[in-house]
Amino acid sequence: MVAAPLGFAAFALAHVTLFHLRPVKRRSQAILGLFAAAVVTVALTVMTFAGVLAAMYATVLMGTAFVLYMPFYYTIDTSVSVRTMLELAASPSGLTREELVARYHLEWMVRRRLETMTVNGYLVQMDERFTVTPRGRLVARVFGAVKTVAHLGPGG
Amino acid sequence: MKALLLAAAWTIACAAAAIVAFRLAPERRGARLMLVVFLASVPGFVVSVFATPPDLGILPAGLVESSTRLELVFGLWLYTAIFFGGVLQLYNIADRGFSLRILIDIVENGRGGASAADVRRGYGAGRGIEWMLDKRLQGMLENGFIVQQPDGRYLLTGRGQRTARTYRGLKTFLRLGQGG
Repeated sequence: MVAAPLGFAAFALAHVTLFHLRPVKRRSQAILGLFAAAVVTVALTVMTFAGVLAAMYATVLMGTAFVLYMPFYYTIDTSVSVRTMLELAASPSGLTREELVARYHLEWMVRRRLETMTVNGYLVQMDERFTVTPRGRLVARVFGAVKTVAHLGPGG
Repeated sequence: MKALLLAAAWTIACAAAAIVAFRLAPERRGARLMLVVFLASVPGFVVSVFATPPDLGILPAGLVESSTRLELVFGLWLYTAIFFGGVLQLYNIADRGFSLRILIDIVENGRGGASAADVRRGYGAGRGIEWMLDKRLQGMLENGFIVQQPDGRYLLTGRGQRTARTYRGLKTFLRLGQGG
């Protein structure tokens, strides 16, 4: 019961330390690599000393902690709302909508997302145009269905 | 194993109840409504842990945990984690995902795909990229992070300043860029 929290704490500490000490380019891969190493270590250790069922519980515990941790991390890294608050914090007299738009570099933001989706295999780039891969189409269909079933708006 | 199965079953029930609530009250849909549905279901989850047999009538002896209290703690953790890390995130991505919206817009643009300029113009099913920022500003106004002055300028509230300080510290420590 103690191994999973300890293993997850070790992963979180390794993640924070690595990112603090050196700039990381492929951040998602680095996080997944660290987490996979932590899960395998904990699962093998628990299986050796407490059996398969305990190892399964430990793996599930670590997995659920991870799904709570990652949205928090991505909020820090990519949230538009957080970015807006930081822009406003840097301007004590406040900003108008137009000033926020100018500071945002919306073109850069869109390009950043397009590049990330291309690296992750959801899009391919040919010249200046982006087209959707079968993987990207599948994701769009699945979430499109979720939007329809739950009566969500256009989103984004 | 009973905790895992009960958590899975309650997650499906909770998601279904949230969808029904969204369809019945579209004007109230949002993370807050999902949270209400989840919190209302927690007592039911606790009762189901005590009211069902340790093997649920189907589990082999090797997968049965004898301590109901341990099943309850583990099950509650699982149910909470799957809700906040899974169901709520799925909703957030479907309702607010920036990259997902771009992906859907490119799909809807047809086989020829789209350039970065097309994406900016057509973002949000033709609303344009600035609509995304307006939506965020509206959300922050409603949640008390910012206020709008009579001259149109947006200012951080005390809550917004505390939040900004926290995130700036975390971003700096983790060497993350300006983000967004």
